[in-house]
Amino acid sequence: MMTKEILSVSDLTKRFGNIVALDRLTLSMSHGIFGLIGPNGAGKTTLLRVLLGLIKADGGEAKVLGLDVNDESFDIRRRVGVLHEHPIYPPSLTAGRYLERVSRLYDARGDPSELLELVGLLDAKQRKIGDLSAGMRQRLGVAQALIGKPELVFLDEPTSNLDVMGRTELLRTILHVHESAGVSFCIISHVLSELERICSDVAFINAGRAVVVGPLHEVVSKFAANQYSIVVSNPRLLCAELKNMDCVVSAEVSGIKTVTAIVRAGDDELIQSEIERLAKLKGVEIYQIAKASSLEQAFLEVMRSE
Amino acid sequence: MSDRLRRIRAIFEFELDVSFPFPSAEALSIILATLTALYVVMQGFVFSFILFPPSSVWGYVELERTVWSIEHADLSSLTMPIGSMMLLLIALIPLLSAFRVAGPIESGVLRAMLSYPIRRRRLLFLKGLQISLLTCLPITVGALAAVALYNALSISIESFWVLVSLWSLAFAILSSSFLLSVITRSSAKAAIGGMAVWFTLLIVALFSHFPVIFRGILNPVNLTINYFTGTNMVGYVYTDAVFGDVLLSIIGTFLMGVVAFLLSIKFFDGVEL
Repeated sequence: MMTKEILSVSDLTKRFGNIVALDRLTLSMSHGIFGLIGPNGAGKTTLLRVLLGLIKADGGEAKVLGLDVNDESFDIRRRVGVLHEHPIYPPSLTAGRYLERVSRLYDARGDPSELLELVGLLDAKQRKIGDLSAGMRQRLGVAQALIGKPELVFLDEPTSNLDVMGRTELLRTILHVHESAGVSFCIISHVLSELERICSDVAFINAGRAVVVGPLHEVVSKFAANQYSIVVSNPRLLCAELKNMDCVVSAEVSGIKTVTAIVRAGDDELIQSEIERLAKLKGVEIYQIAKASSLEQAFLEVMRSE
Repeated sequence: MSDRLRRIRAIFEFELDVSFPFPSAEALSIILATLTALYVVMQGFVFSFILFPPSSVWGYVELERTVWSIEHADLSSLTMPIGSMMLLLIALIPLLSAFRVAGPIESGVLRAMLSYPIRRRRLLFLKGLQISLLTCLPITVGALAAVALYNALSISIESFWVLVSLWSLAFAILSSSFLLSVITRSSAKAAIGGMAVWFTLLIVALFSHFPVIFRGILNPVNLTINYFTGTNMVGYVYTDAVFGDVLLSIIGTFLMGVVAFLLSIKFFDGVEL
């Protein structure tokens, strides 16, 4: 039977000496694909280590699949799969042999060949891991995370070392596994555009605290609904002029030719035509104007206010 | 094969594959064990016994006296090669522990391993088993080769006690090396610290200024052999050791190992990965 709330963390605290890695962190995750987002040092990997029982929290409680991380970490690890940010593999073992070795550690086992095919590594089954490219090793990491037929998979930066094609393929694989086998995923990543494509829920973590938790569309519409990304010939001039407009809350030069503006809620078409009129008046050419309601914009907005 | 045994075997194999297969410490121990075994086979048990223990001397009179005492002590040829080699090889146990326990902690291998359904205590036991096999297997092979050559296949009761004292000492060194590895979490500190501590203690155990029991607990092998030969390794007569001392020193060393092992389990449970 599927556990509805597969991950719940309440007031979780973890200190390393004087450094507070997790500061009364509270969040929960339901069945689906969950994105854990935060700047470097925010506490994402520390949270993962606590959830796997690799380190003990100083306070609070955490449950994975309804199991307590302090008392039932072995049972948790039987039911989850993990891909760490810096995975370590025995270089002299072949990819196929490695998956066989890992599969024997679990009660329920996936077929190594099937999983290698799923991640596009079947041809490399007999190749030694030491001879695989970084991207191939990353895909092997995803396969080993799935070998124990897990209910939940933690992926820490799964698309690092992958090229654009590899990233797209991996995201497709995650979606496929989620839809076909009902496996939930908790993905830690800095590439927000990728998370935006597959996540149902997200959490923003900063300085060990969960600052935003919720369904992806709600988070984006709440924090990035009224943002415009404007590609122009003279961004500094337009930015200065936009700041004087009543309907503009804030504006900043966000790229070599780009201005990002947050406007007050209102008629989108009217606001857009106002911006275009102002640009024309000041002799600034607009190449592109579009709403920038992305997860990245929402994240930046939240982090800016933190 | 039961599920439990199958799982233990899977962890054992996986651990061997993942934790730096065949590192230099293992290679060194096997080379030394092989050389020692060859030496034993070539020279015979008496000379190997004289040459290998760290307390050996080269003076002719002491040598003759020691050979005489061994010949009259009813110790079988099986005991002496094992005793000689064990004393040499147990010094390598801290090195092997450091590579097998502290090394994986600092390199992140243990974090990767314990993300799988593997119990920490089971893993520690298996690591201990691996080190025991690596040190004891070559010794046994060498000893059997010596026995086969010198036709003394029987083990006397005196030899039995020497063997027990050897295993007791090896267990204590293994446990304390584990403890040091888990506390320091650094292979360099654990290896150097472990070897330094044990060499110091083994040397301290040779000084007659300390009580017999104290020396016996630090090095029960020395005390047991001395008791049965009637002299210590440098030829001087022991007058104060009785069989009760031998027994107490073996038990004391073993208990010291048990305490160290329990502490290492406790600390290993809390190691942050």
